[in-house]
Amino acid sequence: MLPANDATGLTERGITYTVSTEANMTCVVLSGYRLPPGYDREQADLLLRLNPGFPDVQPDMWWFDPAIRLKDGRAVKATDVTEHHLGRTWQRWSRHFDAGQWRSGTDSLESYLALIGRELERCVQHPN
Amino acid sequence: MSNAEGTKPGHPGGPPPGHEYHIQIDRVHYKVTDETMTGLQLRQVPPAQIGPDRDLFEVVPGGTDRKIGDADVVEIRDGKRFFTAPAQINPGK
Repeated sequence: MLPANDATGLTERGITYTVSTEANMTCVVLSGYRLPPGYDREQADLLLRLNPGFPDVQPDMWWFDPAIRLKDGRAVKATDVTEHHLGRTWQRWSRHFDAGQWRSGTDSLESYLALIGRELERCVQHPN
Repeated sequence: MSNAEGTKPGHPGGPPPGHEYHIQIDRVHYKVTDETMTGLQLRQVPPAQIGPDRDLFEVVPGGTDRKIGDADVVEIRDGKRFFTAPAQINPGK
């Protein structure tokens, strides 16, 4: 299950999402996640896979379906692996926190989504 | 006389000088008295100030969260909610 604050936060923002469990991970799919300008499409489904200890345990990586590239066709660093989850094929964005970056008791799904948005914007300028 | 939203403290119909606004940062409740605050000022509200390793955002209900830079000015209203997030994440392999 999703922590109550996270469920409320998604609803508060008008985000359409589904929650399911696979391989002991909580899978949150944000349908039609809007991408910042600079990508080859305006939106894609975003998958977050949360450890049972979330939000005390930090999330790791995220996934898009369909796969996204920059508008000029270039690939973004560390997005070349595809994985199968929830019966779909996803483009894995390999991204990891340094120790101590994720603050248990403070960070949540809203801060992770904010960070994803910032990273997507950054990669338009610095894809490699 | 009721306080109309958007009016200024000390103005007719607005909250009196020193009015306390109730805001949240990272879901912790704080009281502030300024009707506008910069991002830098907001970073200094929690006892442990928010450092540069964290980005500051304003929750925009029904919309996209707004990143607040240090020099950005925010109109303070009761119930406004802010949160912080790690400023960066590292690409893997």
